[in-house]
Amino acid sequence: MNFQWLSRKKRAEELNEELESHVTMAVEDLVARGESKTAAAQAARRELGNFSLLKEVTQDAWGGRWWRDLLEDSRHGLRILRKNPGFTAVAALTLALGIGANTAIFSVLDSALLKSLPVAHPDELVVLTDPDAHGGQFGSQTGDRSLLAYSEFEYLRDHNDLFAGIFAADSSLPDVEVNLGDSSAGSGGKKQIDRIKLVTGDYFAILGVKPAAGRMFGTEVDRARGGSPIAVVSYVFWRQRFGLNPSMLGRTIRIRRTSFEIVGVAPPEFFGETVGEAPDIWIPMMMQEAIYPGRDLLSPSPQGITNQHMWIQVMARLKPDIPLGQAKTRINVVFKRMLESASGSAMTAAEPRNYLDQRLNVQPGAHGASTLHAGFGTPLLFLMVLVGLVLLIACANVANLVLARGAARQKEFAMRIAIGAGRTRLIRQLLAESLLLAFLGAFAGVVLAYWADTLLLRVASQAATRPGAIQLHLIPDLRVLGFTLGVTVLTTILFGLIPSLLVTRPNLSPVLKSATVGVTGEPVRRRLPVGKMLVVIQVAISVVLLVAAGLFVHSLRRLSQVNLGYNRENLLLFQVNATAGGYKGAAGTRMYQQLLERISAIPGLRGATVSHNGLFSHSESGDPIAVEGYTPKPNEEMDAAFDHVGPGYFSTMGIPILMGREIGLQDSSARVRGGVINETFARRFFPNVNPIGKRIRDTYPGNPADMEVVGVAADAKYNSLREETPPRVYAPLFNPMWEQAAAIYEVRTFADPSSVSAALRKAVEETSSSLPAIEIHTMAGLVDGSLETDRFVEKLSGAFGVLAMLLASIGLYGIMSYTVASRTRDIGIRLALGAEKENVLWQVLRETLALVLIGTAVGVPLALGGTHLVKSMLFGLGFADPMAILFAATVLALVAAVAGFLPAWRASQVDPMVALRHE
Amino acid sequence: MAKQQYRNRIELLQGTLDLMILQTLQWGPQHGYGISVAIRNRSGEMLQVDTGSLYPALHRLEKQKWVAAEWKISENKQRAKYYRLTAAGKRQLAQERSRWQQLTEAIGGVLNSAKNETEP
Repeated sequence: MNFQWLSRKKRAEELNEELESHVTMAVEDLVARGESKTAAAQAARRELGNFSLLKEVTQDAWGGRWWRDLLEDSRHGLRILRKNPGFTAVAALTLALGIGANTAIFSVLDSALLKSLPVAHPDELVVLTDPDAHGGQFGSQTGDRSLLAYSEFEYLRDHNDLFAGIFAADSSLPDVEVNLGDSSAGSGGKKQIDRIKLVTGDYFAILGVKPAAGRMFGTEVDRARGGSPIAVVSYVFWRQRFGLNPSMLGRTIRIRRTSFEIVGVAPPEFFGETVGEAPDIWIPMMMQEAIYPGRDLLSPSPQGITNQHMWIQVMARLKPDIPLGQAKTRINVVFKRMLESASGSAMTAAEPRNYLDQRLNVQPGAHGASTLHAGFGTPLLFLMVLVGLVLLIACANVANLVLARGAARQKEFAMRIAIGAGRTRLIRQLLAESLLLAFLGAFAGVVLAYWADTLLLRVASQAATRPGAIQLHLIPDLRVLGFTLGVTVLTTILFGLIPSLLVTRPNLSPVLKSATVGVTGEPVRRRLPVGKMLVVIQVAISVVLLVAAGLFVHSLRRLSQVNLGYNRENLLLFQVNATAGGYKGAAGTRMYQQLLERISAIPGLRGATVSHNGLFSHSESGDPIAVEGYTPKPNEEMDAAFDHVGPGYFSTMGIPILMGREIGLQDSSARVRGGVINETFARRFFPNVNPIGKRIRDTYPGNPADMEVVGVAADAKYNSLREETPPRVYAPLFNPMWEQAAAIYEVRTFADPSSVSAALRKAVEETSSSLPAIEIHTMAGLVDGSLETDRFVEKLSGAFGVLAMLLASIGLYGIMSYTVASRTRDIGIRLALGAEKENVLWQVLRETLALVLIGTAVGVPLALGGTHLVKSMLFGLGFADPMAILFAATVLALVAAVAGFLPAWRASQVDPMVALRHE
Repeated sequence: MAKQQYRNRIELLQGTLDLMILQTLQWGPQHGYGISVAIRNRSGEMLQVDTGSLYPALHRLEKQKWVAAEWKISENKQRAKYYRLTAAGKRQLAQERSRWQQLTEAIGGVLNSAKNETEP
């Protein structure tokens, strides 16, 4: 029988038997030669030598030593961990917090920024538009195109032979009212708000997405406008609204005023082409009218090629033999040809140069488009750094714990080294123990991370203006698990290696001789500085984190106190869309006027007005201008921001008029259009001149308009608290310079805004029943909504600061307890010789505070350096914000006092007699 | 310390011990004790094979598949593990023997020439 196939145990037994038989035979020979039986037995055994060593060396020849050692170490490690549940629990929990926090942030980072789209071969995809651009632009652009118009997409699609496929998708994700019909099964007749994405026919085919049920639509839906009222729904939609009932296929739902038939379901992990969005329903782009009624976004703009409506993202799949660079060059040739054929006599001499200077920046599209990259990219990376620091603190804590335990096991190690264990072998074993501990912590940490991530997303979403605005599928994937594994190994090295090296230092005789380590002092004293150094590092890192938290809290407070330039209290805003209601041109303006009159008649209002862009409503207008009496310098851009406002806008909003008057009723019909400029405009274009009466011309090609300045208003923040106010021109809404598709009403109430909501809705309905239902927002809510990223970062950095402080205080407590415990005899002697208890207490406390002081001294410069790096995220803070540093130092001092107090108290309570007898 | 000694002894003899074991088995299967006795006798009591080196060597040879083992009843009615040479072992033995030959010739060459030089 082949020896090799036997189990290890059997082989060991056989070896035993073999060696025994050897001894027996040797004894027989010796006896035959005349030795006595006992003498022969002794001689034979002696000749054999060290029996167990012999067996071990022989077993080595069987190979697999490395693996065996690992198993043995693991089993031994598990036993050690089980025998010390207190140590294991604390260490594992600390590690779980550190590793868990890192995994949580990384998995958000991964989902938001790193993961590829859940489609077939995402590396073959490219984006022709700007993946961070969303919404719609009306007008023209130079340079790299952010978004495209539908007619432009059609041209590219029909004239391209270099992509395997090209598709377009709406760059926004509107919330639309959906009625699930009134059949019995499922949810009958219920209306809800769903997110709808318009896409072209081969969207699913090019992405390579197969339906989970039913079928996807194809290029046949691109033929006729309004001809394919079919829809593909998301898996979540199917599950939540219909409980995965297959009868949903073929059912009709009503989106706004059009009925759609559900033909298919997308697979569960598919969320579309934009990271951060998760549409409920996909419908063909040719059905655009149903989603954006009253507008034609598919035909070329009748106002000329310089007044395009650009609103779609375009992506394509590369052909295998045409790489990205080549595809980019070639598609730009096609694009240029399109621009040239579109331009022509409709433009003056200067315009073509700007118009033809447009390009398609073709980028790799494996990550698709993103609503998160722009806003959350830097904050997430910053949070990763913070959370990495927390991990360092956690590792330092565990390292100290391991050191302390190692000291207790000194004798065990000394013994083992004395009987011949190699130092490397011991270190390997200790590292295996540490690895086990780390894996334990990592396992708990991953569970913690999953829970924390759900919480995190909820916090982030709540802070956003629209609940559910941030949609991320946090499915742990290989990359996240790989990251966790890497972090676990790293933490093991960090907290396991140094203690292992220290604890196995061969200084054996004092250890073996003495009953306690503390008395002889040598090994302890050498180890203590390491423990203290670790605590100092912990304190330093805590300082950095606390300072960071403090800075963000401070920055956020400053941001929310920024003077908007107008009064945000008790102000309601809602948008009314004239084109959606079927109004065009002057009829729209008249409708706005009527509605304003009706609203002003509502009792209990302090004021009501209307404007085109509203405030903090993600809307902005701008045009090139010419100013009377102002000669532009060479290469100076003559642009201004614009807005159209109704009468009494400035007084209703609380924007002070610095010169002249505000826009009033008389401007609705004046022959010469009156306009108001803001302070920045006056300072820049009328530096030493009275601007009243001067003329400004909007020089946008194809839509020139004139106006005369009648007043100067103070600056106001339009869309962001951080923005630098541009020069702005306010034109009368009721005598507009161009057609206003939509307008935003601002209504100021006396008290609780919500009491007026019903009256407002009624006013809108009475003015025109064709207008879609309005969504009412409060000004305060909108402004807060703009701070969602800042608040997110502030909350998290605050949480990490607290976590760091907690861990550091545990570390402090631990090291001081250990110090006190190891010095019990000294303290006892001192007390016995007459020292005051208070002195002992104070001395220990002093030591604690000294550690904290050193840590703070090290941490503050680090914090200052770090602040410099993240200045871009902070608002209005100087280089060294003393408040934050003071705050951090005070908090830490308090924490140190508390953490150090208990050990200090215990030290002072030491009974000298007990201490003197203490081993 | 003790372990070091073993290692050194094994290393010194490893090549030659393997050779002698294989050669001994050339003359028929034998158990460990028998091999050590055979080597002692054949070397004229000069080479006492240390048991601590013998068994590791035997197991190593078995792992290399140059010998194969079997439990049989020995001459004195006891169970013992008998080792025998495999075909691969035979080839290995021939190789080792020629290498040993070359080595002795080389050293001999050096010693003889030295002898010539020092002779008057």
